Amino acid sequence: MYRNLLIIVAGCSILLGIFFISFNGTARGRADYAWVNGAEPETLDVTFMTGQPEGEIAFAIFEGLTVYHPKTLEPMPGVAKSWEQKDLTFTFHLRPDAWWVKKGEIYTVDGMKQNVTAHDFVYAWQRQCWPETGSQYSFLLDYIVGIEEFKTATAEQWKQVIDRLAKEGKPAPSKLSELEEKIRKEVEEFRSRLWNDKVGIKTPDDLTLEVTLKSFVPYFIQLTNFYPLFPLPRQAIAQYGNQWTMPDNIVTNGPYMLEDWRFNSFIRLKKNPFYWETEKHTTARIAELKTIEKRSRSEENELKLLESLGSFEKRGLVTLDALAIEQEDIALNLYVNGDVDKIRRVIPQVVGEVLRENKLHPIPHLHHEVEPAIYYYDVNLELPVFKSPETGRKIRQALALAIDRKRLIREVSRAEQSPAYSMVADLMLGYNAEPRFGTGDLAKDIAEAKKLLEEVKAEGVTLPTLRILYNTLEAHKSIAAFIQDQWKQNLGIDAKLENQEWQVYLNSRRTGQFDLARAGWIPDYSDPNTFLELFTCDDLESDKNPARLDQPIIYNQQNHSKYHNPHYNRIVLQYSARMLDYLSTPEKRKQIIEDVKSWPAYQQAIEGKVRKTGTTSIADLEKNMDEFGKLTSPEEQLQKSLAIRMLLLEIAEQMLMWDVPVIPIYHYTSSELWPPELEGIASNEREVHPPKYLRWKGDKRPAGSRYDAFPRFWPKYVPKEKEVVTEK
Amino acid sequence: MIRFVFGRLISVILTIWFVATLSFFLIRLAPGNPFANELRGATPEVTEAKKREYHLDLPLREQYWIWLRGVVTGDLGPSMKYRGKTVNEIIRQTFPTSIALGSVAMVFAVVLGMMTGVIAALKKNTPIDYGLMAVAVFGISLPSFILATLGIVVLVFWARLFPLAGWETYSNVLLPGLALSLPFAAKISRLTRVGMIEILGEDFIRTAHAKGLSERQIVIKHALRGAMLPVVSYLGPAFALILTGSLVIEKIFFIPGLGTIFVQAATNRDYNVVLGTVVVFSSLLCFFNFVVDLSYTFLDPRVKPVSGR
Repeated sequence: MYRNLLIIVAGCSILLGIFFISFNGTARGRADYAWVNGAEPETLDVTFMTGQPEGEIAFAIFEGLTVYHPKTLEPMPGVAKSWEQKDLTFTFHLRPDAWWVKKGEIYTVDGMKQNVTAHDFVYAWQRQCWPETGSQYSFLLDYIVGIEEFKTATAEQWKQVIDRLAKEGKPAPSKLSELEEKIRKEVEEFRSRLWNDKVGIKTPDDLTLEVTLKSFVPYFIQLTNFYPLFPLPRQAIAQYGNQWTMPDNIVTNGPYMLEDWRFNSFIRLKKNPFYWETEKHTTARIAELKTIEKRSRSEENELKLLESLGSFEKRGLVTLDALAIEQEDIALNLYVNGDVDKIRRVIPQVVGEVLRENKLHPIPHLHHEVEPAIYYYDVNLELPVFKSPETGRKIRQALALAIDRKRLIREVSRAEQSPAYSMVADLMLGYNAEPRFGTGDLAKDIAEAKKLLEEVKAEGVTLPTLRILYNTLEAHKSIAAFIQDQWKQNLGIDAKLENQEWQVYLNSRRTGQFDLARAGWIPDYSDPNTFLELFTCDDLESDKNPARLDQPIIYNQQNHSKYHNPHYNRIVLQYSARMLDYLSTPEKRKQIIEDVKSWPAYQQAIEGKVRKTGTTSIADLEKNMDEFGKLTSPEEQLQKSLAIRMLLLEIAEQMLMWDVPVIPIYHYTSSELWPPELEGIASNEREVHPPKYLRWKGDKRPAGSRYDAFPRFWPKYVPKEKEVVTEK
Repeated sequence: MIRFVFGRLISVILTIWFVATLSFFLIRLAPGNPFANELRGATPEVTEAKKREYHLDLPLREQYWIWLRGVVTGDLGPSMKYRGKTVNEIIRQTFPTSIALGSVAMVFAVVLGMMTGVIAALKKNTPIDYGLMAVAVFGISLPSFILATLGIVVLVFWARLFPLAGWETYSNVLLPGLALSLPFAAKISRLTRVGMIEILGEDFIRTAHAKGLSERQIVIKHALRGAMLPVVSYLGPAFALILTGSLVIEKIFFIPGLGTIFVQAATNRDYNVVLGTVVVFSSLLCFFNFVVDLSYTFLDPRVKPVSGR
């Protein structure tokens, strides 16, 4: 009689059964610290990492020669317990108790406990350079003697091997291990011989690493705490291939270990009990630092940090969760609800109001700072209207001048970004960053822009409708719409918006199918070079190497505008990269200055530009060059060459901003949230927070939600009935 | 009967093959590649090395054969975005989550939908009927993410009844399950109501009344059976829709299911993951339709399995 009902009940029971079988939730329990890590990490193999989500995990489970200071990002001892520099050679002394760890135990090979040795670094750096690896960060090693030659030669050999196999009708190999024994041996021997002969990386013993640079790069030591230069466990990689990063196989050397990894969900990290920074170690290190009479700035910072935070062994957090959440609105909800302890950004929809509220009633959770990253537009210089050096340049400049960036920030982007009139942000040590175009007065700028356009029109140039390309995202769209409106109102120029899906947009930019395109850049390291290098290209004029005579211009991967200025290229790619060489004789020094002066727009753009220091850059450059000639000690010369390098880079930026191949819009700001009870974390220009230093005040994670910290946005819910009762 | 089942199965396999093949070529026609990004190190040489690693340097036909051979042997290939992960592994980790969420949502949808549908039909043209059907219209018209957001505001932020997001305990399942099920519950409710009303007007119901059967017996034994047919035929596609449509809900509640992966993979041009999910989802869709066809033969005496198609 109840057959029908039974069918329904049975159906539902089957479904519920399926549910109970397939429910794979993990009550992972509360971690000491959980943070929103953005997208699912693509890999935990440091050779292949490129993004921030991967980086955050890398800083927890691996460790390089040095470690970031959480605030200043200065290098502090990591696997290297100390290092010294003599001329162009850095010698790193590795600590003997930096262990490789696997699944909570010290990693052993043939019964031998494995510590991190200099060879592990050499292996990792070689792996970066091999052509079959396809690493995107191998250029960081180019500052080392012989690396570029090594990369070129191995790439050529690899190509020969592939060609040889192709002739025999065999498929192209993607790994060394796919090759036949004989050929593989041949390749390996060639590589090791080449490395030993050419490359300035030596290992006198297991715990000493010597690195010789081609020329002095002030930021090289900073790079040693960046993940592409981390060591790798050779044996584990040989054993497991590209599966070596899975939780069961991975061998790590950082303060944390990988405990669990759920795809698109979370990564659980656990404190490494064998990590070298023990209570004893910290006490000894503090004592050691105190005995130094004249502490350097970084030693002073390290001492303060250690004293305030205590040792990792005693106070470091035990479990960490990195959540793979990309949606910033959900991240914010989770933060306010007390489920996570750090998020990267307050969503654009509310950030304006949060910042306003913060001014009235400071929100201790909010960490808002200007960053060096920049939002800009590429201008396609191959477009007929922009191509001409004279009229094209004037139109570009007019476009750059006629944007009310302050209003854009106030009404559209709303995170109190800093309006950009230059490409290099004001955060680089020793670099004079200042607005490179515009007067600071919008009315004057617009008048100037109009004048430029009049001149262009007088020459008979007609302006087509310009297309602004951006990848599909509401924030980009509203900025583009604002700029479109500005150009129409201020200049009478028509623009139309064009949005494309991410991959299509990347493709259009790469192949030059755009008029103007949205772009952004986050610096790789703290040096103006990271921005200026983007707009260089390799060509015959700037590189007078006859062997390259028949080669086409190779633009930098990011030079989508196709900017081509030989003077600029020489300054950024040659002079500043080997500054001491180029300053070595009076003739060479004179040649640099002449090179600057022979740039066609030199008089207006450089000689005529008095900077906020009250001088022109060229006058400063000449003065410093003269002074350099009088110096005798290598140490003083090195210091002076650094100052000259910065001036030259500044001149390069002046060239760039005169030619306007890109239109800077604004410098980003960060709006990270973390609770005031969290210690050992600070805003810094790269938004990296090494988890090693994290501590809770009172060593306990505060429980509960954080609605009260944002009273205007999450008003406390008061049930209606109660109000009625009290009124009566 | 065996011929019917067998014929059906063959057409299911052919459909899946066709969908997969079409997707294979379509995704490769789309601009971009799995390795394109904005970084400065993404040189042509780097892209070449990676293409070689994943056989993308081979002619399209060969790529297709390699892939098809893999699929037939149950190996969906490596992910091109997530280094060292295979598509099989990704699906194994995420698909159970989607299934769990989908089956709970389905139960909610059936129970809520049929109950309200039956009540509305019995109280035809009364305020109760109008009220329930008005709610159902809302349910159908409102997308589930709006319901989910409303649910979060009311039940999480105000009433503090449920956890906000995650996939840890059973309490994590309720809110997303409910939000996901409501549009389907509304549809089922309307289908049940229409089916019931039609059946209740039939002659054999009048005969049943005349025989003096109780109202409850008539409804449950006779009317419900007829009303279930349109509902059952909807269940197959509905379950597939719930599984594939859970994407937004998965995102809002931070649930690590397959729906999210599908969309992410398409934007990343992670070819193998896209194709893997396409194979899984199309198999599901075909499978459920197949099951529904079979169940018809049990539920409705008028449907007789005849031949292959």
